[in-house]
Amino acid sequence: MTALLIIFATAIFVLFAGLTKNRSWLQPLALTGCGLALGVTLFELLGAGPGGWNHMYADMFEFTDYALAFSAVALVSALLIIGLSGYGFRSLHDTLGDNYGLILFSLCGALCMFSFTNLTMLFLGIEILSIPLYVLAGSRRNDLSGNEAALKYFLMGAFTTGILLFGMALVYGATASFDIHSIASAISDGRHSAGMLHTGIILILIGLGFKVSAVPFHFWAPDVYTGSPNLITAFMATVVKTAGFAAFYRLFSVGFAPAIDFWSIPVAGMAALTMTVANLTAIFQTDFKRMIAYSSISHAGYLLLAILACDVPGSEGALLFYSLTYSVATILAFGAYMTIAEPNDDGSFEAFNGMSKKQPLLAAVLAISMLSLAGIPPTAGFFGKYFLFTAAFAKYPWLIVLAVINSAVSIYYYFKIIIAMYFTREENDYAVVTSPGIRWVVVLGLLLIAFLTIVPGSVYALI
Amino acid sequence: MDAFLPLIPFLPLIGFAINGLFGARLSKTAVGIIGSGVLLVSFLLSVACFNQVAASGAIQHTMYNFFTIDSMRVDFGFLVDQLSVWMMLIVTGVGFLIHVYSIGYMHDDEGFWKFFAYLNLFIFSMLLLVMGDNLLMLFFGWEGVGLCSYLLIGFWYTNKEYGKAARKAFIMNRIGDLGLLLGIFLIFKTFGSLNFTDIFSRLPEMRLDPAAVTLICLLLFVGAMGKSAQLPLYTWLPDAMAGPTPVSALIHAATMVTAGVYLVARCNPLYSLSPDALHVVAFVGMVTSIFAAIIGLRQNDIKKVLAYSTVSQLGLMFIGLGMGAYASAMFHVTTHAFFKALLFLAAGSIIHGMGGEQDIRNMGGLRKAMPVTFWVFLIGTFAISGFPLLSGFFSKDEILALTYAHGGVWWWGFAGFGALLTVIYMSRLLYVTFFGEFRGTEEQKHHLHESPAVMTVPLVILAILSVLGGLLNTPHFMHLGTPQWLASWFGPVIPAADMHLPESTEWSLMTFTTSLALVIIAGLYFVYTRRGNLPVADEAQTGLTRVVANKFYVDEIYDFLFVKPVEIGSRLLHYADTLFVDGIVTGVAKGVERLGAQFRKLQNGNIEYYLIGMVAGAVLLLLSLFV
Amino acid sequence: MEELRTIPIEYYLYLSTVLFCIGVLGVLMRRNAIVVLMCVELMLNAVNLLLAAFSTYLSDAQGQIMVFFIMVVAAAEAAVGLGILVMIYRNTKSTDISLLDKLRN
Repeated sequence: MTALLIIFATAIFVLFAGLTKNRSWLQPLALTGCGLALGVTLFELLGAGPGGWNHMYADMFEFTDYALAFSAVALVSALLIIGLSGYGFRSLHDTLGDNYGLILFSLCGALCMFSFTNLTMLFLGIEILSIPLYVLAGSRRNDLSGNEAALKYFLMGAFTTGILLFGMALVYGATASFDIHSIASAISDGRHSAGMLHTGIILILIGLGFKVSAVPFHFWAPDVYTGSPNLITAFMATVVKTAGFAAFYRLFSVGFAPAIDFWSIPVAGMAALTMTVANLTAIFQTDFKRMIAYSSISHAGYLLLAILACDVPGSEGALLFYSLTYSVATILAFGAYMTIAEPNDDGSFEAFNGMSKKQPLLAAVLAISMLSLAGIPPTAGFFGKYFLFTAAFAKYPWLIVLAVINSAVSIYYYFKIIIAMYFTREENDYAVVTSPGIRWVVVLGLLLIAFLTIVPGSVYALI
Repeated sequence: MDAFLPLIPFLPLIGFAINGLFGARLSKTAVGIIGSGVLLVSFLLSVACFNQVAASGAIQHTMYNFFTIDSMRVDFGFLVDQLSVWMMLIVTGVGFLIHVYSIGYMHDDEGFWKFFAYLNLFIFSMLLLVMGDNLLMLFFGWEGVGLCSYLLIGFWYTNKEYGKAARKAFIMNRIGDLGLLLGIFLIFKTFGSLNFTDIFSRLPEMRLDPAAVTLICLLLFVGAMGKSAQLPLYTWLPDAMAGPTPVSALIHAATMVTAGVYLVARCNPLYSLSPDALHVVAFVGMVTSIFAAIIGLRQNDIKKVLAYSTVSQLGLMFIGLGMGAYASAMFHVTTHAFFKALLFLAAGSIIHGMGGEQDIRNMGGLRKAMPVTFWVFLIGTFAISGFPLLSGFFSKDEILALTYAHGGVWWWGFAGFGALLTVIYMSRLLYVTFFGEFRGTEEQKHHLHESPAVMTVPLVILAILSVLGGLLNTPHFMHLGTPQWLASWFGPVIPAADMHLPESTEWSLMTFTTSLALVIIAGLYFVYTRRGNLPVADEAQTGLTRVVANKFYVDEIYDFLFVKPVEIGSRLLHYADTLFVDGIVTGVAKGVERLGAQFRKLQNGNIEYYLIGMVAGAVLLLLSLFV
Repeated sequence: MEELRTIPIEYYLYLSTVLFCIGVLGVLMRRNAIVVLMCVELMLNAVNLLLAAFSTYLSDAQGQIMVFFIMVVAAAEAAVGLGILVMIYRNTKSTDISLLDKLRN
C-alpha cells in the first residue's frame, strides 16, 4: 500500500510539474518515485511486513508476500522503462508530464491487481491499468498507426471489460460475494448455483485472457504493440503482462481454486493454442517489434502453465521468476532496439545487420536477452521455463511436451536477430544513436539477469 | 583439494573472460598463453583430483544452493568420481594440446582472440557437463557446449554456407535436447530428485514400472543421439566441418560428441534395468556405425572422411553401451579421443601446409614434404584401424568381443563389418594423401611445408598416446601392460561387464578381425599406390576411369565384388539420406511454415474480424460448460 | 422490496443476458465507432441491471456498490474513447472502424 500511495502521489506531482517550463526534472522525479516505492516494497517484503494496511479499506486489499513480490517486479520493470524514457520520449515536449503521469497511474492499477481480495478491486485495478494505456498507445497524435493502435486497443478492451463484468456479476449471483476468500468457501461448501458460477468463471477467463493476450483473445496484441510508441509497447509487454498474470493466478488459485477441475480444461486448451499459434506466426515476422509481440503472446502460453499448476507448491515462485526474467529481457531488447530503429526509421531484422561492430555492448545485450527469451541455458530465461515446466509436468505431461517443442521452435526467430547482428556480412550504413541513460539501464538489467542466473533460488525466498 | 575443485572449470571461464574482454588489445602470444595456460593448470588440478579419487574415492563438493522448491533441492555442485575425473583428464589434457596447436594453426586469423575465448568457454561448459552432480548441471553444460559449438562452427561466418552449417548443428542438437529435457522432467517426477547420487541410491528400493524406466532411458538416449550424431540426427556433424580444424578435433571428435556416451554411461544403473532400451541403443549404434562408414568410403574431403569416421566410431561406442559394456565404451571414448584428435590435427596440418586445400584428389605424395605429419597420420590411421597393439586395437577388440559374448554372432558380424569398413576408408585416405605423385597446383607445391613446432609437438604427444593408450586396459589373457586396469578403475561407478567367453574364442575372434584388417591395409596399398587408382569426381567417373590401365584382372574382380557394390550402396545410402532424413526434416519445416502462414492470415488487420474471432473463441469456451 | 422479489431472479437474468447479447451483436455488426461504443455501454448496463437485481435478492449491498464503480469507470472509458475518436476523425475524416487496418499479419 505504501508503494501504491507513493506512486500515486508521484503521478499527480509529475502531472502538475509537467505544466511548468522546465521539464528536465520530470524523469528524475518519476525515477525517484519508483525507486522509493521499490525500496519500501523490498523493505516490507524482506522483513518489516506490510504494516497496518492489511485490514483497512474494508478488506479490499491483502498485502501478502505474493503481492509485495509482484509489486517489486512491476516496479523494477517500470524503473527500467522510465530509465529508457530519456531516450524514448526525447521528441515529446508539451505532453512529457502527461506521459509520465499516465505511466505512473497505469502502474497504480497494476499494484492494485497484485493485492486485491475483492472482485471490485480487481475490476478497478484492470481499468486503472488500461485506461491510461489507451491514451498512451495513441500518444503520437498525428501518427496513423498510433491512432489505429489506440482505437483497436480501446474498442477491444472496452468490449472485454463488458464480458469480464458480466462474469463477475454471475459469480456474485452464484456465491453472494465479491470477496475471493468467501467465493472460495462458497464454492467448496456447495452453496452456489453451478451453471451461473461456471458461466461466470468462463467469462472472467475471457476477460483476463484478453489482458494477458491468450489465444484466441490475442488479436489486439500484435497490432497494438506494433503501432504504439516503443516504450509504451515495452510497458504493455512487461508490466501489463505481469499484472495480468499475477491477478489471474491470484483469482484462480484462491477464489476459484475449488473449481479447478472445471476451469483447468479450457485453460489448458488456451495454453496449448496460445503457444503454438504465436510461435508459428512469429516465424514469419520480418519486423522486430511485431516479432516481439508474437513472442510475448507465446510467453503468455507458457505462463498459463503456472495457472494450471496453481495447486502445485512452487508454482507461484515459478510465475514470479518467469515474469521477472521475461520482463527484464524484453525491456533490454527494447532498449537496444530503439537505438537502431528510431534514428533510421527501420524496424526490420536487416536493420540490425552488423550491429555487433557498431555497438558491441548493445549487441551483446540484445543477444543475451534473445537467448534468455528463448530459454537457453545458462541464461535466466532457462530457469524460468524450467521452473514452470517442472511445476506443470506432473499434471500435464502432454502440454509440457508441446511447450518444449514450441520453445525449440522459438529459437528460430530469436536467432534471426543474433544472426543479423553477428553473422551477416551485408552491412548497412545505419547510425546507432545511443545515450548514457540507455547504457545505464542495459548494464543494470544485465547485472540483474546475471544475478538471477547465478542464484535463481533467491527469488523463491521472496514468496 | 575440495577448495580447488571449482577452479578446474572456472579457470577456463576466467580465461574466456580475459580473452573475451581484453583479447582485442592483447598480443597474440599473450592470448595464446592465457588461453592454453588456464587449461594446463586445470589439467594439473585434474591430475591432483585423480590422485585423490584414487586414494579416497569420489569427491562431492557443493558450491551453493541453486534453488530449493518444496522438496526439490538443486545445488551448484560437483561430483568427481572415477568416471567424471577420467572425462576431466581427457577434456583438459587433449583440450590443452589442441589449444597449443591452435596457437600455430590460427596464427594468421584476425579473430584469434575470439577463437581462444570461445574455446575456453567450450571447455568450461564441457567441464560443467562432466563434473555436475545433478542432471540440471549436466544439462547446463550440455547446452553450453552446443552453444559454443555453434559459435565455433560459424567462426568464419563470412562464408554463408558456414553460417548455415552452424544453424543446422544447433537445430539438430535442439531436437535431441527436447528428449533430454523431457527425460529430466520424467526423472524428477519419478525420483523426486535430480542428483545422481540420490537417484541411483534410491533405485534399488524403488519398485519401478519397467515401461517408465524404458521411457526415461529412451528420452535420455534421444538427447545422446543428437549430441553424439547418431542416426537420424547425425547430418549436422559432417556439415560442422565448416569450422576451423582444431574445433573439429576438440569438439567434433574428442569431447563434445562423446557427451552422449558419457550420459548413458553415467546413467548406467537406469539402463541396466531396461534391456529394451539397451537394445535400442545397440541397434541405433550399429546402423549408424555401418551407414556412416559406407558414406565415408566415397568422401573426398579429408575432413568429411574423418567426420563420417567419427560418426561411425560413435556408433561403435553405442553398440558397446547397448551390450552393457559401459566401461569398454568409455575405454573407446578415451582411445578415440587420442587418435581422432590426432587425425584431425594432422589433417589440419595438411590443410595448413596445402594453403587451405581439403580435397584429397589434389594432394598425394605429401610424405616427403611433411614427414612428421605423415608419421603421426600413419600412426593415427593404424590406431583407428586396429593395428595390433595400438590403442584402437584393444578398445575396438574389447567392444567386439563383448558384442559377441552378449549379442551373439550376428551382432558381432555387423559390428565387425563396420569396423572393417573403417579400415578401408582410413587406409584409402592415408594412401591417397601421402603416397604417389603430388597432384595439386604449382602454387600449392611451392607453398607446401611442414607445420611449425607449436603444431607438430602436440601431434607427436597425441601420437604417443595413440600408440600406448591401449595399454590402459588390455585383456586379461594377453598378459600385457595393465590388464583391465581401466575397467577396474571405473568399478565403483560402472559394474564390470560379464565376459564369459573362453580364452580361445577371444583369441580367435581377435585374430580373425585383426588379420582381415591387416589384409585390407596391405591390399589397399596396392590398389591405391601401385595402380595410381585415384578417387574421381562423380561427374568425371567415365572420363577418368577409362584412363586407368587394366593390368590385373584381379583388381577388376576385387572392384566388382567389393568396391563397386559398396560404392553403389554408399551412393544409394547417401541419396536416401538426402531424400529421407533431410526430406523429413524439411517436410516438417514446410508443414510448420504452411500452418504458420494460415495463422498469419487470421491477423488481417480488420478489427471487426478480431471481434468476431474473440466472440467465436468465447462461444467455444462456453461450450466447455456442457462437456 | 417484497414486491420486487415476486418477480423471480431468473427473469432478471434472462433480461440482462438478452440485453448483453444485443450489445455484443451491435459491437460485432456496426462499423461506426460511436455506435460500437454505445453498444459497449449497453453491455455494461446489462451488467448493472443484473448486479442490482442480485444485490436485492441477496440483500447484500456489495452489488449496488459495484454498480456505482462500473458507472464511474464507464464514464471515464467513454471520455477516453471519444477522445481517441476525435483524434482519429481529425486525421482520417471518418469514424468507420473497418478503415483502419494498416497494422496486420
